[in-house]
Amino acid sequence: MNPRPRSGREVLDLLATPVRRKYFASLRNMAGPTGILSIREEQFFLVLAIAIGILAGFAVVCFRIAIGWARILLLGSSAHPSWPRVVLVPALTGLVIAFLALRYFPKSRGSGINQTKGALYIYDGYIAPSTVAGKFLLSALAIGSGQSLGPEDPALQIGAGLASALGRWLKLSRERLRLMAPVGAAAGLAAAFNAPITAVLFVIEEVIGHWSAGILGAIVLSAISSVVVERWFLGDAPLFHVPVYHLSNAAELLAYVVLGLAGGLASIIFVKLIKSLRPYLRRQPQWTQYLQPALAGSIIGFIAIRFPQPMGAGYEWIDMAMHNRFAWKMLALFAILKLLTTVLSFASGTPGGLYAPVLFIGAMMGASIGSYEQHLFPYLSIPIGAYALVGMGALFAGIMRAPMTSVFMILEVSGNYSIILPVIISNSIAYVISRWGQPTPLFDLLSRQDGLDLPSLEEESERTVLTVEDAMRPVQGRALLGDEPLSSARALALTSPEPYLPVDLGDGRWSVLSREAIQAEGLDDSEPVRALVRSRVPRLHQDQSLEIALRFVEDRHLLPVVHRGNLGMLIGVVSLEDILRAYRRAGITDMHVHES
Amino acid sequence: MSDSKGNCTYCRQPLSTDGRCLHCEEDGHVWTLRDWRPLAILALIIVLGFSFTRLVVGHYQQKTAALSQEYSSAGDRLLAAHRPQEAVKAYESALVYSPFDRHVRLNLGDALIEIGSRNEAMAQIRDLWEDRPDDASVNLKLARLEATAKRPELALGFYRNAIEGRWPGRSDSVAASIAVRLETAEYLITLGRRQEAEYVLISTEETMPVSSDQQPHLASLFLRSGDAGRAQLIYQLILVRNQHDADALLGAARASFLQGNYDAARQYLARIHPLSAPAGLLSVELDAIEALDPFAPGATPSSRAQRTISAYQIARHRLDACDLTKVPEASREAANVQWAGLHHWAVQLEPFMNPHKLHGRDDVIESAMRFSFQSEISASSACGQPSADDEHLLQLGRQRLGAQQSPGGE
Repeated sequence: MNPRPRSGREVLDLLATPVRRKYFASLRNMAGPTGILSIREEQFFLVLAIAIGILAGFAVVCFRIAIGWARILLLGSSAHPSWPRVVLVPALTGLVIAFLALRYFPKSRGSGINQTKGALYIYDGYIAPSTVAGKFLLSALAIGSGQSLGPEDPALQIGAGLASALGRWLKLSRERLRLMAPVGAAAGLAAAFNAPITAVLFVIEEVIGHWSAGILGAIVLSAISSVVVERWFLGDAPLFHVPVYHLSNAAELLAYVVLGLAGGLASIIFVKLIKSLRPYLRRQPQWTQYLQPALAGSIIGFIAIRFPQPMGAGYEWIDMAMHNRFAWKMLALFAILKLLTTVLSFASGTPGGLYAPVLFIGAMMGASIGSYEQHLFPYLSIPIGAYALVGMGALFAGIMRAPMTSVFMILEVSGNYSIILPVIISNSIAYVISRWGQPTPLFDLLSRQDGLDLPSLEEESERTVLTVEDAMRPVQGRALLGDEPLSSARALALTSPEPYLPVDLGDGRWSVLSREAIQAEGLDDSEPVRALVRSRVPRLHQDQSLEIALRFVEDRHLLPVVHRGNLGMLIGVVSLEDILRAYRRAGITDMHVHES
Repeated sequence: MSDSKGNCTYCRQPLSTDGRCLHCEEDGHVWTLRDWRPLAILALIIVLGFSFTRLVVGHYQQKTAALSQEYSSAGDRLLAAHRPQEAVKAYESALVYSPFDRHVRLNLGDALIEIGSRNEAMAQIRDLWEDRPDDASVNLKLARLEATAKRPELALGFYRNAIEGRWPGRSDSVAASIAVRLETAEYLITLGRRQEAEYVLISTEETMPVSSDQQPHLASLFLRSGDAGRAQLIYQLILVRNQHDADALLGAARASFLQGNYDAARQYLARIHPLSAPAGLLSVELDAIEALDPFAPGATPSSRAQRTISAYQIARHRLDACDLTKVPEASREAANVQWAGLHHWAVQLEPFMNPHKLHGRDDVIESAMRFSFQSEISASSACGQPSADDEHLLQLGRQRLGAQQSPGGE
């Protein structure tokens, strides 16, 4: 396979394009003279999404089991392994991981989210089976041996890889194959995190980077079916047991402001550490690459002799923090240690994800601040679990820069609507601070370090979206009516400075006539203007995108802009020149913004 | 795939003569399955995937269940062997594989208590309680922890939950619930909330079967709560079933003693063979009280006079030794007035306090004993710890004055 790299914009356009292509040509070629079943392509894709969800669910369940086995085999079955084992196992496993990753699975290193995004935007949805196998094996070894990484990102890539393989086996077209990766990614993440809504939003915000109605249904279906599979096999026990929370006093919200500030600052530190350490380690000689995961593992091991909390994904410790099991100083220490060990593990190129560690750091930070605030202000009746939850959301919003996901993730995990206000406050503050301190989001930063330029939702939202209103101008004079006599139209044409005049034909239909056509002889003055009309023109509304206007204007001289509530009311007109002028103006503004 | 006008349902274009929509097929609106093999293979992959995953998960769950069981049993053994530190580690390992195991978490709580990590034990059991707020065992453990932490209201709340809670996995849930009621009553007694304890005991008596082996405990708690009458009845019922039950005989004796029925108490004590140490103590106490009671049956005139003088002297000593400055400011004035009255009464009685002058003066004996009782009762709330003699006199006074004041008294 030798795919042609496409620009992000090109792929976004493809995603938004209605399904009108020969996606299943190869399948149809297999067909005989009579069909067994005929369904719309969209419907078939939905069925396929369910199948992807089920298969990804199987894969992720096996992946989680593999992590469990790796933990038992490597660190032993006891919750308190001996200290030589704690030190040696992550280091030695790190050596094995580095060897396998560098020799056999080079693409399994780094973030699965970025690699899936790369598959969508660069490699026509292609994810090599060896990458999936490598990710599965090496991530299970890494997390099972205690590296400070999580299973979610690898699960996301495993799901995407399976979907990609299925799409290629079904010989889907490139366009459809591209869509398979996010569908599989959502399924993988949903099964790993046991939260379908979070998975759908995360994939839209972080992988697709674009709100596309065309693919939403398939993503939702795959996520739900994978979660059903996961719960079928592993039960429906939640990741955390979240204590009951009620907002009893509006003053409590001030406490969450502090959490938002801390989350924002912590996310800047985290991203900046990765930003500097990852390229630094990559610049080191090739032979050191074999030692880096082992070195990271041994440092984690030494820390774990005294503090085992940073090892692995650490969900059990998050649960304990939520139930007020540690003092605030210990919680703060856990957050700092996890932050450092995660940066070390990730920057050393050990396969694994950042999702769980980010939640861990956020929860510990939140619980620590909560405990300290309770110490200072004993009348605050907020449970520590609520602080931990909101802390998770704040750090997630700051580091991942996925604000929608961060809010819905907390709602889904807690199952408690009361927490939405604190979460929104903290997440918004953390998000704003993070954008201020670190303008490039983490995943954009990682892809740029890897030499890729991938679009992001944040980037999309910053782009100036031009509407018809930006280009339209008022009509000089008035619109002609289809039924008015040519005599009055000719009188108006004589005085009007406009070379083209819009004509209201009634019932929301419009046309445009040139001054010359109106003045031309051949028709009697008493004839209606309608008699001159040869074709209708599309009408526009002022809130519509300028891209639509550009598509409609084609070789027409003028398009009417009418009121949505009264299709006979002319608000203005727009011509090709007006549209181009608006684009030029916006281009200059965008350039200023970009340069600044 | 065609509508009433013979057009394609999807794109409304006319169909070809063989009923196919060339427009759709060209533009790819409709996917027509003419070969079942891809879908069949996909279905097969799903079935195989399901079977494989089931195998993997089953094997893993078997392994983790075995590990959990192994660590849990090890924890139980270590806890029983009073090695709580190691038991904690074993239970924590068991929780890695079955984090919601009720038995393990409860026992981990016990082990943590044993090593002195009460807060951690409390947090552990509170976690469990959040999952199972109606679990009686969990509530009972929390109640005990809160009681130890001297948070009586929280403790009583958990005790109430435990009384009303469920006992999963226990066939003797009624007996267990009764045991919690008795423990609650006992806790209330230790808090000095005897009336509340009595309410709990009365409701327990209603639910407890007559043949329950917890009847003696119920009776003893009735005694401690001050309801000697109910205690007496329960002991009598026990004695109906086994008239030689030494504990019941002692309990009945004590109940009789507290009700002032010293003869009955002696009769019960006489039936205990051999006399146990507590029974011996009670017997001594009976003698001591009788030695202060001039109205006891069989008392001779001289012994009546002697007993009156003894009671007077004990009460007078208690009155003189009392330091009224320790009485709270608010009630000190009233206490002073009362003390002045008692002193005046004592001074009036003093000339009569010899055996000759008391001989045949039942009115003076009566007055002297009333003075003694009144002095002891007043002193009991204002003058600190009483001596053994004071206690006996107080016991006698309460019984005598109470009997006189109560409408149903003798």
